[in-house]
Amino acid sequence: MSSSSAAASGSADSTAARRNTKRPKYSKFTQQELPACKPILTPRAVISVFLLVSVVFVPVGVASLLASRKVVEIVHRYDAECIPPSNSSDKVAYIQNSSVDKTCKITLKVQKHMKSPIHVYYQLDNFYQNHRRYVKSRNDEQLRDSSKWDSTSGCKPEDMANGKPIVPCGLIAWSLFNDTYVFSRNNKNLTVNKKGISWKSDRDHKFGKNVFPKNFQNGSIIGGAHLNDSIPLSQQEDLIVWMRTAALPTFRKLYGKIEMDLNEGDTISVTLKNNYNTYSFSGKKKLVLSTTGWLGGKNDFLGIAYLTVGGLCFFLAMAFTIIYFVKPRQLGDPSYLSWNRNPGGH
Amino acid sequence: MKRYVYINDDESSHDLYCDNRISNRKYTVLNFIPKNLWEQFSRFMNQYFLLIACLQLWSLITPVNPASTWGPLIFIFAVSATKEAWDDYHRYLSDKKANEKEVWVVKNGIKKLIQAQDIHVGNIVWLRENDEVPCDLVLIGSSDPQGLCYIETAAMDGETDLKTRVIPSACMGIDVELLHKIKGVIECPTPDKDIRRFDANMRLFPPFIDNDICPLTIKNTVLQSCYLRNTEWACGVAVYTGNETKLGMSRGIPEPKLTAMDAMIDKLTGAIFVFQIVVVMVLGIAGNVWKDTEAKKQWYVLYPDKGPWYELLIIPLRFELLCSIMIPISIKVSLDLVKGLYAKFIDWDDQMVDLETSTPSNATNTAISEDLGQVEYILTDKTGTLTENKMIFRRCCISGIFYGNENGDALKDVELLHAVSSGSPDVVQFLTIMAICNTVIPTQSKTGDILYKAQSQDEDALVQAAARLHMVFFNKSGNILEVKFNNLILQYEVLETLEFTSDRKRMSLVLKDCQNGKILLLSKGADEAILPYARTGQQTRNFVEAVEQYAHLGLRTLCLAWRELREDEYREWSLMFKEANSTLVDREWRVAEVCQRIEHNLEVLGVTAIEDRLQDGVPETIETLRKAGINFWMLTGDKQNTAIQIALSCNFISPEPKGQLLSIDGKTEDEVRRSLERVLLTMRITTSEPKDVAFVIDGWALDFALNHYRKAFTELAILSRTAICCRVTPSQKAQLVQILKSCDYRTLAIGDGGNDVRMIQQADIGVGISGREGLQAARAADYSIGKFRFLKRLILVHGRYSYNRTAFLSQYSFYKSLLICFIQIFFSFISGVSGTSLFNSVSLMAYNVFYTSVPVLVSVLDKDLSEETVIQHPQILFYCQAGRLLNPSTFAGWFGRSLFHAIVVFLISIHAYAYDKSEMEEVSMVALSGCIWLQAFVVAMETNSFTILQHLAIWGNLAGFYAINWIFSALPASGMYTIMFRLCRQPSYWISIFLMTAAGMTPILAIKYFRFTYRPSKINTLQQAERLGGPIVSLGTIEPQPRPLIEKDVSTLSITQPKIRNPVYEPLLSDSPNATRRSAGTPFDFFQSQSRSSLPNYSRNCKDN
Repeated sequence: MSSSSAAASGSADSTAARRNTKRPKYSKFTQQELPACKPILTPRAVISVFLLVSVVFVPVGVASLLASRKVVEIVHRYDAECIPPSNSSDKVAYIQNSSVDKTCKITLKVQKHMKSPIHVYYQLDNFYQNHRRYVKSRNDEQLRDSSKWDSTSGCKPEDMANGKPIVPCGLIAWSLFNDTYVFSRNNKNLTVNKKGISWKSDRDHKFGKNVFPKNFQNGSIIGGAHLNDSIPLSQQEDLIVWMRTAALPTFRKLYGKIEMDLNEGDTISVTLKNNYNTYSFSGKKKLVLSTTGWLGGKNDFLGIAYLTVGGLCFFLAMAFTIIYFVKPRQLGDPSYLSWNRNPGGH
Repeated sequence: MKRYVYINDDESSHDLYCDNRISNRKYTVLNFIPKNLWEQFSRFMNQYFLLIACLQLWSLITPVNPASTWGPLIFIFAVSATKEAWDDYHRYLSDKKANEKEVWVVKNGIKKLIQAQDIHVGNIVWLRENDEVPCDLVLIGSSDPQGLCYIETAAMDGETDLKTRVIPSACMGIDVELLHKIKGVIECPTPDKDIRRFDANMRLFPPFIDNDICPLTIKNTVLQSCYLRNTEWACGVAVYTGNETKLGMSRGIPEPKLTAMDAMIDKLTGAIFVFQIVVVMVLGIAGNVWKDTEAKKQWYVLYPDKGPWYELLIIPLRFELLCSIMIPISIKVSLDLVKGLYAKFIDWDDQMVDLETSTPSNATNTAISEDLGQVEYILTDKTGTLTENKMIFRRCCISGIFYGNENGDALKDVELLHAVSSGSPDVVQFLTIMAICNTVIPTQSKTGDILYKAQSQDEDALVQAAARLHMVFFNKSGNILEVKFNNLILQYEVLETLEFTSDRKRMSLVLKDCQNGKILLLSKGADEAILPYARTGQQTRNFVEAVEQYAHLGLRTLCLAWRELREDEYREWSLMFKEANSTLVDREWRVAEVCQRIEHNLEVLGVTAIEDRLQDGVPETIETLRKAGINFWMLTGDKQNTAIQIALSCNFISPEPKGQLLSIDGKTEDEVRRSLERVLLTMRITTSEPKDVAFVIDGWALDFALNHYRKAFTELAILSRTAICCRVTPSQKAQLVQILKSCDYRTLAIGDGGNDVRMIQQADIGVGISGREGLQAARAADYSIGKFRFLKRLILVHGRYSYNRTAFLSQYSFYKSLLICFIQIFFSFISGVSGTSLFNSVSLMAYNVFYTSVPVLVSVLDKDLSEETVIQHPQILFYCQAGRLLNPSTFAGWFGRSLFHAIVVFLISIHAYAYDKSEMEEVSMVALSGCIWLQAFVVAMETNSFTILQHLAIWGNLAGFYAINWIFSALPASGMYTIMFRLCRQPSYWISIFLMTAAGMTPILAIKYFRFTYRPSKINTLQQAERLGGPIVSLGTIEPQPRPLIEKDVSTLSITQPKIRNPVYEPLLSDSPNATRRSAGTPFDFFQSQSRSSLPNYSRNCKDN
């Protein structure tokens, strides 16, 4: 068979042969011929993208920054001043001495009008709730289900006290924060609403309504707060908040809400019980009163970052435009192919 | 070491030598599991994952659920073990079939039918026509009265012609019945793989002729896997059996092939592993220090005062597990998946289907497609691979008249037909020689058609052509040849046959014309073996021209000549010939010398031209692939001249002056050494010139070169882009592959016959042509294609895409695992260096399995350049060959990118979610979402062509991420309960995510754009050209278009080129049949060479960059 006839017959019977079972089935996918769009980075497209990003990001950044600036925040560190001067040489001994009354009074000055609700946080610095030993030291089953009261796996070393399982077990519960604050303005008590400070989902599903503390803080070492044995865990909101472990060593936890506006110039006196030991690891304790905006608390980061990225994109767009005009370059110029330029090779 | 084979002795040799059981199996039922596991665990990656999986069982240190590692690990192992088992089972089945084939063997003096596996050394095996030889035999009997038998050795050396084998002189004339009882001893060497040599002795015991030791050569043997042809029966003594036969010895166990890319990935994995160890050690030490200084003060952590003895190890091991995701376990699974798909694309490819036989291409080995894109050397067989292996008589020149020049087919040339019918004596004589001057045996089929059984395809073509021209050779009975010419029956009696040898390069017959009793000498042979012996006075210039002209067209030429012998001249010579034929020493030489005495004074009649047609598209394919920087070596069992012819006609070597062909030859070691040194010297000099230098070497010289001058030859191999190796054995082919491989070149071997099997198995990639010589090569190969021209598509399209895709996929896999790992590492700095995992088990597992693997898997559809562009600019392949897309520096880029993205994600997460929002689960999900968004954009940015599937995968995956997390957030039992719903309602979440995406992607976009526009790679330039439309047209015209070389107008042939002669080289081309004389050294003229843009040193130089 000559080549021409082979080719001719080949094309002629190609449709017939396609039906042949030996031949692969033809489809756009199997032939890698799916229609495709093939964008390339043309100067116009790239510069537009950068401009678009900057146009979007700068306003968003301004809005975020404004939102953050609108939030009024009072931060007061009290761990140092609440140690009596006589005990300042050995703070740890003071804090660990349970017989001493640790009441401490501080005053906060409201610099700017604060709209209700005002969140009251305590802030701990240098406290590693995310430590590998700490973060896993809990048993979710036990917290949820009263019938699983004796399941304490993962809670070591705070799983058993006096040979009985602890409810709630684990280091997190055991080290529950136990400073308390009482607020008053002009000698009038400011009520702090401690209801609803935890996540609803936690109250409803993570902490059982009929799970009661048992055998808690009965061990040889007392960690943090005690719990009222007659209140179910689902209503122990301080515990629930505390057990939402923080990812960072500096964190704030909601203590309560003041549902009342605070006026500029108001002086708020706080009577607090300085019980919690942060002195042994030189952690700071701060009391924070803050309003909230649409982005949450006071945090300039997002606004600044947005402005930076937007500005940078704008700068890049400008730079590329200038380069484009100063040094235009034809795309796909075949003379850039070295083999066209120099047939001898490289 | 010698082996003594006692013929027909049923007892003594049974225990000494193995039986004839062939086994290619790797495993047995018992050792499968341990051996397979052992093999799998010899891979570093598997050891690593096993270690990690074991460590995860220790709950004290594990950050995540151990199932996340065990599941994939067991799955991977099970898959590869099943595959191995399946393959081995098939090997077992084919062995079994061969072993249980029934053969006739003499046992205790009686001929019995037994299974082939029960043959023992010393047994007498009987073969009938067309039987396959079950083991290596020494012939002792044959149906032929002269003790001849014919065998086909295609399975062994790929040569399809029939070979004669003869029974040893000692066994000559033994009665058939007595053969059963023959006793004796054969002294032969221990088994080796040399299929050309068998130096043994045989002595028969009384009552058989017991005079002397009878020497045996390879001529007296039939080897395993040959076929008995044209011989009614033959019998022989088994000397080598089972896996100890010559074929069995040369059948190496094919090693599993690892692509260069896999090796690179392994290397990078090793580097990452080292990096990981460093990180683990640093963090481990830091963690222990922190624990001792800080954590003791952190009373709420409640560290015991005294820990267990292994306390110091706990933190480093935790980090080890935390960082173990740095090496993605998913990479093996995804690579296997995409590799399977690459192979499927090859199977499916509609443009690689051989339409004649409608055989699609097939990728047997699914694991090495990337290597196709990195091929640097192609070693190709000639016959059947480059050519069709169909010899067709095309043209002839009789007495100075050219026939067939007009239409390319002499059989249809009116003038020739006219000359035949008018009975022109020269033409008739010419046809007679064509018809009978050969060793062809005509047989008549039942339908009356005449079939020819020829030892050589050329002879077959000549006889067939003569028959078409009414000179029908129809019967051979004994020494009488009968020819029918125009209904006239002519009879000739063969008096002597002067056989063809490669030294003489001609064969002759002495015969008596029964019509008039004249004694004639008919000769045919290569021009240099015939034309010098023309009768004085005859002008041979015509024939020289004809030969040259035909050779330029790539035709194989033979000169035909004859003369009449006087009665007394013949008588005298006949005696000498008989004597020479019975000499024991130097018989071949003596015979040749005697033949010389009669083969002179010839009346040259003309020249025949036979075409072994090149397959369609071979020159174009070679041209394109050479442009792509691939070097070609031709390894053939064929003659040097033919090989050079074909090489020229298919662009393999350029004709002078552009190309230069250097020859390495010599009969002795010393000659070879000198020749090799000379060629090497020339090579070194010319290597800087843009010149195609090639060398030619034959099997003999190659043997010396490989065994004694391996170093010099290796250097030559590196310097030379092209080589032609003729008359090479299968194992030499494999050795050549080995040499190139040892120089770290990626080799592709392509062949079609059984003789190519070893080379195919040895090479990095073996491609088999499922052609005329059977399917052996195709079965042993990694890829089988129908035609040589598909190689272009296989390499440039499939190989290149596979390489590009795997390059992206593997680096991306590392990128994504490093990204999440870096975040974990950063997080450990703010979590007291205690080894806390920021992400929960579900997220970590799903990250590798769902979130990041789906988008990257569709990158198998990505095409950076269209197929047409790649074919048009094959040079672009060098990016793959030089490994430009996957190497430590590109990897460093991805490493840097993951570090950068990790910093972006981490910093933004912890700052945006600080203070009251720093809840563990939320921060973790914010960081994870940031990673996923960045992933999507990274894949999108690295994708060159978006099909609907890619869009679906990339953006669908992003949506899928939210869907999966919403599902988990809806389950009260999961740790993530309500988290995702909460986050999605927070504006700060979305603002953070967009910030991460923009901050992560804009610098990358800027860099990419800058590179793309101002520092474009060749790929970028072509992309721009291709997608912006316009310039691609001009590109096409700039490129020199390859034109078919072969059908050039004949008139240009006589253009002589000025010679640039370098005294260092020996112009080998003059050795080819179209040149006049070797010694004369006359200029050798080729037709004007094409303007080809060849790129010598292209890949090499670029690689050094």
